[in-house]
Amino acid sequence: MNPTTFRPVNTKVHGTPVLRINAASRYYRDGDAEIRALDEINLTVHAGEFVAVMGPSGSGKSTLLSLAGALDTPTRGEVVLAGANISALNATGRAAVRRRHAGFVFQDYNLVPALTAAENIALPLELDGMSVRQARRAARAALIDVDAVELTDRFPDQMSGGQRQRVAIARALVGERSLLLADEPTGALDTNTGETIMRVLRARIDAGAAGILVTHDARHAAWADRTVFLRDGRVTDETGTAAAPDDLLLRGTAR
Amino acid sequence: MTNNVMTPEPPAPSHPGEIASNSPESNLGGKSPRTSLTGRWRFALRYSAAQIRRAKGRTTLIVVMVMLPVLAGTFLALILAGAEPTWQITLDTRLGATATAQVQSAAIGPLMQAPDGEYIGNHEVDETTLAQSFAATSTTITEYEQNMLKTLPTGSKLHREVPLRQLASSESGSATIAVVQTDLSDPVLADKFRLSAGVAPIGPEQIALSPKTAQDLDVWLGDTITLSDTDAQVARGDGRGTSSTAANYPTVTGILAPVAGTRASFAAEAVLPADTVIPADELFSRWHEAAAQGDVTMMSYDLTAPTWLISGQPVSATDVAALNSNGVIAVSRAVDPSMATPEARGAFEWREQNKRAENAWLALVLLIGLLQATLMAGPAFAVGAKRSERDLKIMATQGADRAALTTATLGHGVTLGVIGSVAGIVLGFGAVLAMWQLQPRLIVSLQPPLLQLVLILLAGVAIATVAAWLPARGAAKHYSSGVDEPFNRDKYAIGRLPWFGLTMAAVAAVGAIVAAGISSRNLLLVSIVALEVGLIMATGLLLQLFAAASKSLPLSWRYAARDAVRHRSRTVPATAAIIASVAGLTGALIYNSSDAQFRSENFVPSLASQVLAISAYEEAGPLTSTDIDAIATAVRELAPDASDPVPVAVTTIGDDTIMEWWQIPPDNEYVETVTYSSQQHYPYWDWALDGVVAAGAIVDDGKVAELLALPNPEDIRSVLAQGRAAVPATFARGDGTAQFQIWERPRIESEDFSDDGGADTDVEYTLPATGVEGQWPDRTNVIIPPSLAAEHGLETQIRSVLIDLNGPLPSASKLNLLATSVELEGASAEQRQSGVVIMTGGEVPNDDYANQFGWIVVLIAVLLTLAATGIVTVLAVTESRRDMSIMSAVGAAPRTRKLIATTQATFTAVSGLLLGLVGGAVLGVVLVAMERARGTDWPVVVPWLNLAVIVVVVPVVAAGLAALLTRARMPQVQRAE
Repeated sequence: MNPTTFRPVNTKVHGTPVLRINAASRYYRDGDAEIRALDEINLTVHAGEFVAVMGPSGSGKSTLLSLAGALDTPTRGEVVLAGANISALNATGRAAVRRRHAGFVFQDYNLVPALTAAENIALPLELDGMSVRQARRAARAALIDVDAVELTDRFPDQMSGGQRQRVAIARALVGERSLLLADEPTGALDTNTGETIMRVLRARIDAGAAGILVTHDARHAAWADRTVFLRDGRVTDETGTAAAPDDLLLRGTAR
Repeated sequence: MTNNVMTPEPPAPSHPGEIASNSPESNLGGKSPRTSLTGRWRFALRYSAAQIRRAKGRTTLIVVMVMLPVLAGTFLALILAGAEPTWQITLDTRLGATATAQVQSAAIGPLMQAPDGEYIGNHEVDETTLAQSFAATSTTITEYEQNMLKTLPTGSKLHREVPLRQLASSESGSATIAVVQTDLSDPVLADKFRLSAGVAPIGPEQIALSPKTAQDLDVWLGDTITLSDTDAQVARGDGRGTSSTAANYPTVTGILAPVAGTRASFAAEAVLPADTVIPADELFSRWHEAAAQGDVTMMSYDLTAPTWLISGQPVSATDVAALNSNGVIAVSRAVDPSMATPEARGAFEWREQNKRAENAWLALVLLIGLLQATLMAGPAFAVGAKRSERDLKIMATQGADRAALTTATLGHGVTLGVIGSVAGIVLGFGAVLAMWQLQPRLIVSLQPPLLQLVLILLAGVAIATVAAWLPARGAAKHYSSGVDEPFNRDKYAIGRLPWFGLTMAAVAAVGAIVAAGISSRNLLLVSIVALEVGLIMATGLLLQLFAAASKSLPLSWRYAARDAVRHRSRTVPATAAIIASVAGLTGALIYNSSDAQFRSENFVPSLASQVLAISAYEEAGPLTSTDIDAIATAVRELAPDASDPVPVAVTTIGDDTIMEWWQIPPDNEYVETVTYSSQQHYPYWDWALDGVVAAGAIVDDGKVAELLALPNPEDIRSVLAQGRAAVPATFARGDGTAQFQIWERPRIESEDFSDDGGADTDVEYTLPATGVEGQWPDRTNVIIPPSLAAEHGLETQIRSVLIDLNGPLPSASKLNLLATSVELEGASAEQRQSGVVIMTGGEVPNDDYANQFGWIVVLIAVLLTLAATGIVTVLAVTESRRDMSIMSAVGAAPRTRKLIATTQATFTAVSGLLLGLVGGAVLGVVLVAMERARGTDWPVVVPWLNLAVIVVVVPVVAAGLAALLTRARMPQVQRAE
């Protein structure tokens, strides 16, 4: 397939909800001023569903991702991930939720340089108490899923950007993890590699995971089942089904 | 792995000499101009200032690392320079402001002196020369002075000083002080003994005291003190007691001023008017009598040699030589230490050798200290260079060349080196000044050794500069790499340096073994230094091996090992510092314990356990039955269960003899039968620490055998019962005899040497003797039965008694009190000196020194290792912030950060300790082998407890501190915008 062409629209019926965000707000204090990073957000993501989040800088995309991935807790409202209300969990509990249910893919890969590809992927499993051997087996399977098994024993320094991102995707969904949170995953990659990575992401979602993609790029958002638009911490628009890039650009800039 | 960088290399020229079309040189007329030197350094210093502002913690760490050794070096240099008086202060102390020289009677015959007055006697001189010296022929002090003036330049004038020691007492305390009787109305003498308060003691019953003496006695101007002889009083403990001479009761009229440039050096502790305690002519007579007998040390403790100041013409080196030939030493303003004669330099070469040896060891310690400081400062620079990576890359894009990038990092090192060094020197000065105020006697004068201080300053700058050198070289690589991070760089590849280091360490180890074999100390020192440097260079290899072997280890260990290798510039220097220090200290520990064990195993008791040997000084004569009763009574007050004293009879020194040695041919081994030692013997030194209290052979029927810890007492008694002498088996000859040679030196009775007492005599005795197997105490080599002694006309005296306490030995202080509480009736008060001599020697010595040394070494090892581990861990934790945030994102619990910091600390400590201990074990064994090569039978003793403390305490404390001080909160992932 030509990497610059767009995928066919996914019309399948999605599964059970993996993430539910109900009227969640996140406020920060900056001296006397209160900054509303997110304000009364509602969002539900089901298994097999890929949701893109678009919006200008400072609109709250990353904060939303942090709440969705249990890196942060809402000031108000609730975030339920894999059945667990993260507001009710302490830092250790939230870390356990991240290990077992949510995986991040970042623009700058965020692989631990001191660990090989397989060890990076096995990281959440090992942290969760799995034996080194079992975790390594699972990591190898995850690498096969992203078509990068040859990277098993390479260190991040020894990989290209696209290879690193494949490893990051494999790590995000290793084991029983069901929610993939991608924050500008193609931002540091060239167009062709970016398209390849989006294809890999889509394939993993189609295999049953739920995913949220934060992006500025309408072409990448077009890989999602639906797109949510944020501005000043609020949802300003939402496409019901997958939209074409031009349509997304129009909607994103119209508001 | 290929080193693929983002910025492509310029294409290679197609012809030799051609410049590639896109190289900078193509537009620069073929030249390759470097960035300007001043511009580079100007920028480097400005950039350094910015880094100091930006990274205050790291800056402080480096400055402290540089400052501490510089502070210690400055402190030591000032203390060492100040501890010894300068030549000027020596002159001011001995001569005062006006005198040209100070002379002192030292011997009857010729002597050789160093310019500072230290002298050695010339025993080679023949009797005629001896008898012709003016010291020998002068019978009165006036005659002596007239003779001395003939030797001095014309116009010289003598100003008499009469020094002696006295016990000064007041209601508040007492002290033994050095007193000078002299005439302070004489301006030359008054210039030496200046006053800071009051008036000079010119009238009767007046005295001037030094402030310290006044303070000790708690007196001041107008108070009266008591002066008396020190005989038998100092040892009594309370400072009071009977005296053989009348006491004086002077009033304090003046307080002496310190010598110029000092705070606590005085020309004397007290000054009295001339002839107050002892007239000068009487002092001279006593000195002359003692000197005529060959040893002025036989004079009373109270009395010292007559001394004079000289005014008038300068006293030249020739004049000093003339005085020396007459037994007089002279310290002259005109003869400084550089003017010592070649003969004197040769005679006192040992002083220079000692100094050189001390300096060599000091230099070695300083070198290792500098190396340690450099290694410990290195990681902080490495982190700084890494943090500056982006800045440097940006500079590279703006035209900074390799030299400019190197200078940027190196300049920071120089800046911090200067700051740390200056701070260290200032604080070092401050510390010494404070000490000089609080403890003025520890430092004679503050004489900043400028050259040494400059060297210390440069060493401090060098620490930081050298520590910054490797990071600077790394930083310079950005010259060609551009802004973007290169990838595909294999950070786990092993370079050549570690292999070279490993080879060097191996060769050095072989060299050390060879050095031990051929007993070459120089080769050993070189090998030790090479071994340490080799181990330091091989450290990276060790870390890489650990990392390679970490695949199956838990995540935290794997991370710690890999992280250590990835950041070699940070971890290697600190680990190397641990290896170097632990190796050196482990070697020292093994040497120390082996030495202690060897001494313990070879300890031969000179007395049985719990036995006291109590003897009279030789001058006090033999012990009478009254004396023995007095001793028994005094001992029983201390130890009620003590047995009755067992007298020890020894062959007599005749009235006409002052020396008598028993020797056993053919090696003429000395027989000193009543040599008791209160301290351990050093078998390989062949002498005991305590001296002989009586010479001669023991004459006994065997009852002393057990008390003297002789081997096989029953055999000895059996031999003695047969009327034969018992000797060590090696001394018995095949014909059933043992031969003894008794060398007697006659006493010289006449003071004018008209009668020299006759020649020395050698008397040979061949006694029937039987050898007794076993380890005899050092130099207790014969027991003669009374019947055999009588048969050979050997007279005996009771010189000491042995008392079995039947209980543990009292403390040293109680034994000292016991020694001073016994008064012997047979000797005059003057002869009694300090009571009796009490010796012990049965117990295996408790080697406190070795123990203390061992634990001090452990403490140093622990502190150094913890410091290095702490530096690396703090830097690693700071640097791993991004990794931690990634781990947090993938689900690491908050405690993971603590766990990883703990593991990093443990990893650093353990990896350093492991190689350090191995290297130290090699070093220790080599050092012991070196001793064995010298003919001793040293065991190799590994001080397991000390090493275990290092091995257990360091990782546990390092891990504990890391866990305690690391925050449990995981950092959040920062989004790259």
